[in-house]
Amino acid sequence: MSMSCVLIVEDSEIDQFLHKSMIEDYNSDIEILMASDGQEALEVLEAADKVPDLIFLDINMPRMNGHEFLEAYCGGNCEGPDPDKAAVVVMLTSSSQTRDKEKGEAYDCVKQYMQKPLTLELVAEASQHI
Amino acid sequence: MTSIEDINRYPDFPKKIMYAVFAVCALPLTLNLLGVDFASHAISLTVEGVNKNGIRADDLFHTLEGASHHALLEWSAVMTAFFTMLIAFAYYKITDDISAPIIGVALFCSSIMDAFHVFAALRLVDATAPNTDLIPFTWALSRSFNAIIMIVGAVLVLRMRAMKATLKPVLGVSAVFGFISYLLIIYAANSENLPQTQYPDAMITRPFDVVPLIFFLIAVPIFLKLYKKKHNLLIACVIIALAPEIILEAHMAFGSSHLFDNHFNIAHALKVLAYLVPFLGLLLDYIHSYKVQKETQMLLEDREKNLEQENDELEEFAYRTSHDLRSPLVSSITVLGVAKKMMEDGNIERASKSLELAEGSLKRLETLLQDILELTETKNKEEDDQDIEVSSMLDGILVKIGHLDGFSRLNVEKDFQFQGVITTKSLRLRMALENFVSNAVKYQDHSKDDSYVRIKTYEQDNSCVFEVEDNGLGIPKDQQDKLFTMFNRFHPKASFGSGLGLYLVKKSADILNAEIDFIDNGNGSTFKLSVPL
Repeated sequence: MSMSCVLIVEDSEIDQFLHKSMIEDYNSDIEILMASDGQEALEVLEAADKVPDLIFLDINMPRMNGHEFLEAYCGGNCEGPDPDKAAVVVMLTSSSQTRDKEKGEAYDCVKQYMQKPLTLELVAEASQHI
Repeated sequence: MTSIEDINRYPDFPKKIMYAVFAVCALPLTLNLLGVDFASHAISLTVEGVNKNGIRADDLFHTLEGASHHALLEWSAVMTAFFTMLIAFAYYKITDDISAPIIGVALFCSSIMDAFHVFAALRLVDATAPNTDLIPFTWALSRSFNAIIMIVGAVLVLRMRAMKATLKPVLGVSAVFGFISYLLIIYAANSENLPQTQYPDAMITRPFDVVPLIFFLIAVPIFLKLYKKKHNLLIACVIIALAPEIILEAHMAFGSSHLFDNHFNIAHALKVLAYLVPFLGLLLDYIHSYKVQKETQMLLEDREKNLEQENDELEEFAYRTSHDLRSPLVSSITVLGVAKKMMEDGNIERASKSLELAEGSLKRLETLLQDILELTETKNKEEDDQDIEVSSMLDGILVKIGHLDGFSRLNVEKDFQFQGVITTKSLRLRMALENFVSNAVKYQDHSKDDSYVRIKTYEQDNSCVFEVEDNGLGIPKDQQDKLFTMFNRFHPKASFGSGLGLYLVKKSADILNAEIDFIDNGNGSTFKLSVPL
């Protein structure tokens, strides 16, 4: 299955730009949704017409960070949200800390933990999880 | 905060106990002057009485009244000395201070002699010498022995270099002294030729009691010297106990002319007091040591807690800085690569946008580095208090903040009611206030036309209160508990700061002993800093 819609949850303007450019370079037909933090991501998901295929999720963000988003998105359930609506989550962060990786990978919907910067290869790799 | 030095300070000389002991020592003589007589008035058995009524048990008790008083008082002293020794060993266990068992054992050894003295007087051990000679003689012997053994104990403690000394020699010496005391009393009790001890008509009624009197007087400077070396409550109380020892010997040497008379009974009662005061000293020292131990433990627990907190903060700090320093660098390098490619492709517009983003990212990195440096300085830099003219300092801050984007659209309202000078650490106060005011500028609500920052100063509860109120973006309710923690940003769309600003303010406030308050005014934020005057 190919990617048709991706949600980028990222607070840094420069990273938003970079992720967007990279995904567009990978496939310019992909619809890209943007959220600056976990809270906004929940709102975007709520308002979106369709469930995005993939969520690129940053960890360190103001207001609601990546871990808190996962908690809210999965309703505290590590097995992930409603399977019919589930989007694949790829954590994309500068943090190389194992505690972040382990915490994120405890959720079933989290398929991969990637370190910035996002490259074409990483986008292709992420798309394999769909 | 209480320090180890505060806790370990020497306890003060127990003046209250001293005055109380002096008062008790003076009391019998005072009461004597008021007509009270402490003599035991035994009713002697008469031949007529015995012939008429026979011998009744009551009569025997009445006859032995003086002996009973004597035995009771002596035995009270013996028991007091025994318990003093026990508590001295308990004290030694806690403090390792050998002076306590030495003094405790010295007291107990003299009380062993007192015990044999009373056993002989009650004829509970074989005794041939008449009590009229035996009691005064062994009393003087016992008192002299008491004074000598106390002096020996004090000299031992004085000559010991280290606080720590082993208990075995102390126990060995005390066993020898105890045995000697037994031998002396047995010898005296079975002696046919005890010297005359009482001279009712002379000025010195019991000349043998002059000997312990002199020994106790000699003990005074020795124990004062000992107290200088070891400021403990036990030695202080032994010094105080020398007062009843000397006074009781004066009662005996210059007052008592017969067994169980007024001065005899007073002296025996004062002996109980003389033994009781070191007991009290040990008890007080024991309480003091216990308190010191408890306070030290509490202090350690406090410090451990602080250390744990600092460690957690340090760990968080290392984690966040490694992330926050790396992130803009990685992104900037990547975006510069993108810009280069765009330029090569001739897409100048996108290249320019990339460069702009890289610039913004690197600027934020610089801000973060500055904040980290400031944090390090705030934590480590020593700063003296200085006089600060409050209003002009705030005006200075406003001039400095004036260059920030968005400052000009803010309505700045000043209400400086506090017009004085405060004495505190200037750099830290400035830093905290600059943070408050610059946050009002950075996090203003651009959707409002009447954005304002109100800066107030006033005096309240002996503090100078700085209040910075705005109608900006405010702090989300569920995030307010994280307000003064590290690396917390609350507004995703306004990514100016490092998230260290308010944490820095909190650290500075702690150093200033100031209190910070945050009030969600429903329309924005109000921050208060109360600096003690």
